[in-house]
Amino acid sequence: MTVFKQFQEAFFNGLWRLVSSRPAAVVAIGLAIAVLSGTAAYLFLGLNSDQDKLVSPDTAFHQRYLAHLENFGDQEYLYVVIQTHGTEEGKQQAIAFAEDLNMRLRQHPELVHAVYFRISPAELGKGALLFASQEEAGALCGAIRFLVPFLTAWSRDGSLSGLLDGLVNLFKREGRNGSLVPALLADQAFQAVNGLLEQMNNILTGKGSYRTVLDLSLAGSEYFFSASGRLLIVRILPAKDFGTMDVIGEPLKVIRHAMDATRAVYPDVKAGLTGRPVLHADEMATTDRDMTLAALIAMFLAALLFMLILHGWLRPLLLLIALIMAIAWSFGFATVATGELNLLSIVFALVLVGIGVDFGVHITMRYVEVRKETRDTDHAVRTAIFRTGPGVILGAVTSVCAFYTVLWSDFIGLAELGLIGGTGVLLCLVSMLTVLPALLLLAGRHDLFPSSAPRITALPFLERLSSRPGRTILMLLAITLAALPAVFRVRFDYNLLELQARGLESVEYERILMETSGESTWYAILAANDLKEVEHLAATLSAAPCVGKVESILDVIPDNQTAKIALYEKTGRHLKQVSFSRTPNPPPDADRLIISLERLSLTLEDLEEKLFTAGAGPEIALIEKGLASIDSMITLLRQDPDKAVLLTAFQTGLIKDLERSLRQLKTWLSAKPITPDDLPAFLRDLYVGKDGTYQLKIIPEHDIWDFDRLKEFVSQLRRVKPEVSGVPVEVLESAAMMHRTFLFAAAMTIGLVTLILWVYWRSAAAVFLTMLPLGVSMVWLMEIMGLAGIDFNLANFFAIPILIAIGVDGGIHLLARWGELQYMAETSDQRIGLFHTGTPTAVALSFATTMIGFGGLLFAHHRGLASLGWVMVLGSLMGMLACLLVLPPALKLLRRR
Amino acid sequence: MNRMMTGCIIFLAAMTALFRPVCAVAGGDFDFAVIQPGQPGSPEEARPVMDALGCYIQKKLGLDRTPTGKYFNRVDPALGFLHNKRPAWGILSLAFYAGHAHELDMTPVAGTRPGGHDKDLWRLVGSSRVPVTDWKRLKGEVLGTMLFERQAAACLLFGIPADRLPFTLQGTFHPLRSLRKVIRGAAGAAVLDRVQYASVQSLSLAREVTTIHMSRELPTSPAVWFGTPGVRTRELTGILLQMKGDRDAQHLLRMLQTDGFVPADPDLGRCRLGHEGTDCVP
Repeated sequence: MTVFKQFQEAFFNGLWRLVSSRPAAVVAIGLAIAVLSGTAAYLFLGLNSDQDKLVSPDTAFHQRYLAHLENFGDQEYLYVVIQTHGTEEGKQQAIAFAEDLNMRLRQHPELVHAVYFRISPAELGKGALLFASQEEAGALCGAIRFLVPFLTAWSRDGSLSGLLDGLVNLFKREGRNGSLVPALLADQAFQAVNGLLEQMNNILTGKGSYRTVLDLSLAGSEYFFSASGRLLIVRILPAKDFGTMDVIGEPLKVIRHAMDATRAVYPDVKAGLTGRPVLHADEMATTDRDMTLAALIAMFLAALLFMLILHGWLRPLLLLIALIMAIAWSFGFATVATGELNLLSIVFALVLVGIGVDFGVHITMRYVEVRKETRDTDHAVRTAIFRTGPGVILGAVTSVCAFYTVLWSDFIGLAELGLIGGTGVLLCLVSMLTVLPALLLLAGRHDLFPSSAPRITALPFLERLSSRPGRTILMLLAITLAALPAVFRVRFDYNLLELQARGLESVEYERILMETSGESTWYAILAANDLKEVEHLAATLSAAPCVGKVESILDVIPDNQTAKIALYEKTGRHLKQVSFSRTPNPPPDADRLIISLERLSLTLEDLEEKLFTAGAGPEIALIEKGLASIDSMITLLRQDPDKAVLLTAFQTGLIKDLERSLRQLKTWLSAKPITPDDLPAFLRDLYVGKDGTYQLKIIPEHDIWDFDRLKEFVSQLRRVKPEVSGVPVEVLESAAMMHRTFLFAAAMTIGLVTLILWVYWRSAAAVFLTMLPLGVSMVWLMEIMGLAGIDFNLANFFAIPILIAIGVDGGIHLLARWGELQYMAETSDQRIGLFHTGTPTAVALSFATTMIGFGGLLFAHHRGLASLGWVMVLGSLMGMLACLLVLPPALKLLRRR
Repeated sequence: MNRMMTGCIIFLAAMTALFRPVCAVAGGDFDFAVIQPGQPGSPEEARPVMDALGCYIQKKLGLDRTPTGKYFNRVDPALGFLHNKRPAWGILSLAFYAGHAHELDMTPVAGTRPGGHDKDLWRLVGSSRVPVTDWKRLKGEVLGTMLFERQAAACLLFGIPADRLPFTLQGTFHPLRSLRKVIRGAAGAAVLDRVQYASVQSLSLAREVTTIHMSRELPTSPAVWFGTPGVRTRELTGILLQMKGDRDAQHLLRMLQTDGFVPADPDLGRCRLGHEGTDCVP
């Protein structure tokens, strides 16, 4: 007997003495540790759902990203995308929708930190006019010079009839100097004149009082329309709570509620919510629903299967108790080891259910098999421990390898899952070798199990399949080879949007944003030291084919400031003599008003004719309204000239309006050059970091959810400046890192498992045979995936290490039992076929529980989870078939040799 | 951000003259005339547009002098000008072209796109209060901006000479007022071109008018070259056809009330009054 065997014998003897002599104490200690662990986890184990914490801060790309976030603050927005259909009316509706939504969101400052959708001149301060283009500045100054005589005249007159006469002169002068269509650009002017006339008429008819007609500080707000004008984009910065799975659950609820309320007011406006945080929250909500459904289906089916195979409800219950204890211990370990769970390690309990329960299945099945032969509970439990224990330990060690190989990964999320999952597997092993046997002993000694023996403990009908092992192997080989080309059809799809559930509003609007406007919620970021570098980088980056646009502080620092200031100064001198502070306010005179209104009516009719031949229907409609107001006023004033006095307050208000607007205009015209320091804080913070560097946002030209385009985008940016950062870089590097980690883990696991198996078996043939079902099942899985059109992705790739773990496990148990049977045949001449024992049933049951466990995911709405379900179910099925159909004939063939 | 003040500026700019050319005005090889009989307004009001078009042509062709443009919205002064001092080219209303192409040596080089349309459509509309379904039963006065060229308009719209119509055709500078007259019953009917008809659709009086008769699809106002076409004609045509894609030309095109220029309509030949194969011979 080798030292290894002696150690094994001693270990199991010790284990048996412990379990058989004090089964109640074993269970009590296990339970006490479980309660302690559970309590500790409940009190101290936190959740960190921050995606930025999944990658090691030591990696260069992530270090840069975190430093950037620290410097420029959180700028991960939610985007409300409002569709305008590209029409002016649509734009006005979109603006009204955004204003309404903003009003509702401002009631929740603790959940919604900021809403950005417009900038008004007032917010830009004294330098507002410097933001106009040179052309616009010229037009504005021309307009002011044009209006000065009118303003001067009216500032000395102050009467409403004087105002109307002034308007007549303006329209006539405009006609003389303008064009064949004098008012093509005068839509807003008509609106203002129309508003003025309508208000005057309302006052005369007693329907209204004075409200502001002209307020320049509110005029000219720029709304954040996309370049195509088809979308209005509202950016919302929500409060984030990384202690919850969805991070923005509460703000999201409030925002969606506000959107629903706004939709009710504007039923014709189409708007939706998107952005990375929403996609994440929606993903969490969808996966949560899907996982709950999957868990319910799995629990029901697994319970049914266990009750059928293990005969009754008690044995499955004992198995479940042992498993729950192991999971509770694992939570305790996680509390001590990491103190928190991340977005990946949160699933460790599910993994333990899939893998850990298998250890118990093998122990229990062996116990059931022996109990069929003898009523001696102690003998059955002892046999289960001594005969199945080594295989269970070996299987557990190989599974642990699959988890621990990622421990050194820079992908912290995965490394922590590896640590907690791997240790959890070891704790499951401990529980299944101590608590479960102790529970079986306690129940068996008290005769609590059903008196009748379980019927389905073996699968003898499968023995026939391996009666002609050569033929079976050849047939399977032929099928495998025939389907081999399908393996090469399987690709790796990195597109994260393709993992999301179909029909989600956030996904739909992410697409609308990309397709309709060329905008994206993903953008790369760069920091520049000074404005010169910003200018250089913006120009170089804009020239790159993959770049849609570059946003920087240059967008908010006006250009040609010196020229504009000179122009404004000159124009300001024209305005200097105009003042409404001493404007007379004579009582309105009905006769003068009637004459002025009639003159205005004739002028507007002339304008109407010109607009009519120009096809300017909407403007004519406005003038028609104005003419109707004029007609009504003339009639009213003719009927009762005393009514003119009603317009006194209107006249006073108008003078005050003009005085205020004139003061505002004079302030704007005397502006000094704007530097980054002069910008309003909300605008400066977007582009200037705490250390004084400048941020550039680089928005892609194409859809970078497509991984090839993402790679090209980042590669082009890196050619300009290798230090580029932002979500696109994070996603690219994280996906590549995850891919690398999985591949490394898979290769490392196979290497380690091979080594461990060789140390255990000391036979290359045994190692080959143990690994054979795994190898064959992987090829079959890839063939089926190729034929069914299922690609690997960042969700289902997670299945591979689990499949490796359970695939090896099946081979180990079958080979161990086969060796046992061979030994029996050689020593006692007792020949029992492998399929007449409970081991193949236990192996099949292990795979079946995994299939059931993940089978519920097939119905998931989240396409990533559904694909994980498919790969796990198909992989487990292939593992089961390879164990039952390939390994037994192979063993027979090898024995013959 | 650059559009930051657009709303504010437009409000103020709309009150003023938006285009004041500073180029010196002088004669040249590309002098032109815009003849649109019936168009509301006056030649004085159109002067800035003519100057702007001249400046644009000068800039694009790199001329030393600015081509001079003359605007006419009355037939007689236009004919007097063309007979005495013929310009190089012009933009003419369809009716004017149809009525005088036989007496003035002109070649269409491009077509306009009023309201974004390559083709025009004339409609004879009446009051829906007194519906007339057949234009042959219509009496009284029919008004329209294009009816200053009575013979040409009659042929284009009805296919017969004006003197054989049961009503009289009368040109007007006030098409909207004329339409209101028709609705009030003070006139028999009005003729509207495609753009004018589109304007009506935005107004409340759209419900009060009914279409009695429609022309076939007609060419739009053509740009023509006077005299024998040559190298300069090709240069001019090239510029006109490229205006739609030229950012600098957008404001000018709006003032000219066309969405760019397109190649000359081959159907124009059929519209020439008195020519063989035309719709009618007066």
